Amino acid sequence: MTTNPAGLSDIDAARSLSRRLAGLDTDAVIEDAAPTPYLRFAPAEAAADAAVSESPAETEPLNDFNRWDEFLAWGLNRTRSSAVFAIDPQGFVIGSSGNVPPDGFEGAGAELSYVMSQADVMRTEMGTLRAITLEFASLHITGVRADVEEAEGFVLAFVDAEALDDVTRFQISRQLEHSFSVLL
Amino acid sequence: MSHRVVLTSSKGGTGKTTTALNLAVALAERGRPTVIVDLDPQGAIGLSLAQEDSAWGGLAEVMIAGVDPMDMLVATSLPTLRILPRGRIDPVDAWDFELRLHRSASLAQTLDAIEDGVEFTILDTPSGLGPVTRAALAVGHWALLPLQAEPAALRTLGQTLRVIDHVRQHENPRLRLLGILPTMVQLDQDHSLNVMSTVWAGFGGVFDTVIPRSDVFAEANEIGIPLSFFGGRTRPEARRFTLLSDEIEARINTMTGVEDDYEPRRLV
Repeated sequence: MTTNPAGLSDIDAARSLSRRLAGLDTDAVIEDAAPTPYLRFAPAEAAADAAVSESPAETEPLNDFNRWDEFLAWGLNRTRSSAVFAIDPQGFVIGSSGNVPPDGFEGAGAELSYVMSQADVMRTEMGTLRAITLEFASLHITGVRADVEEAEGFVLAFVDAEALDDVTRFQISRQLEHSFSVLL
Repeated sequence: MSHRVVLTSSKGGTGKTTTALNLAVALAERGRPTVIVDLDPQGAIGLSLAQEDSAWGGLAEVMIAGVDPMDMLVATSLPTLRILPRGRIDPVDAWDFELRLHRSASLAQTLDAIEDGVEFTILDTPSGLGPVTRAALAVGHWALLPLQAEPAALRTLGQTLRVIDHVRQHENPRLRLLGILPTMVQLDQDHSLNVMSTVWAGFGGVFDTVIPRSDVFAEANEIGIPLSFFGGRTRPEARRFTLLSDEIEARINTMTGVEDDYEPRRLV
């Protein structure tokens, strides 16, 4: 009898993971910092392969959130984005969730806030700016605002290979309008 | 709030559905209001209970026709146990069913709608680490991994744990490993004993309860009943699920900081 019948390093890795997930080795190296033998699809490929259109008529119940981290976790799950961050009217990132880069979103947050404020200059009979999508070579950043006065200048930004679709943007905006007075 | 327990395993045939069904029955028989949600596109729970593939409406009707999830719950002879079946999804659309479960908020909304007064929601997933498993882990609180006590199953354990770890880090920080449940254990067989020795030597979260390999599971499946419904003497395998339900409740209490202390007593 051996203690490792498969004789594979996979089992050692599984053992370490199981201990960390069970709360026994809390200081173990986290996944993204540790080298792995696996290949990953580029996010754009995975998202394009998995894309499913939503019904425009879909309406969802609104949730009651008391904290930004709850709201951001919901937004991340709802949009299946890679990451989400919230920016205050001064352009400071006040919260983030998901696959956040090591240096955070401070720079991106400030620039997105600036871009949206510049677009605000265009205000005409079209109404206020509700959302903006920036398309980069490998990802999109979609900024969404709530259409309520007290939330002016606050932006929720979603980072993913795909831009948010209309229905999802609408739902995010609705939820932000619903929750903002509590989150402020 | 209900404890959402996701049965998951990258390998097929490890006993996910059998565990989901018998664990849910054991919890319900302890008086814990429980719902089984069948997320397997094959409708494994319904098939285990000897139902026709299109006998029950369920999640598919909720997602496609907008039916109220409460209207889709199937009552059982246990007042504390109900089932949300997969529904009458055409097998041709199984792929679409899986992707929609993953890409929309349907699952979270459905669970929210049916969990009033429920203490345990048992989510049975298909084998593999595809969109349904990911959708379940994204809304679950606890991951339970049935581990078939055979070398091939042990070799895949790391795959499932890696996905759980990923979801916990990036999608659902509330998700925790409830435990690894050895199934189909045959300690009189070297290969099974070796696997158990490996698991017991250093893996985290392994349940004390193990489920032995036994013909009684196939007999129960043949007539479509949980193990504790045979009648006559209680099958020892059924008692394992009673023990498991007790261990799960104690473990959840410990991991969530719920006090279950009791006052010191004197016997005489």
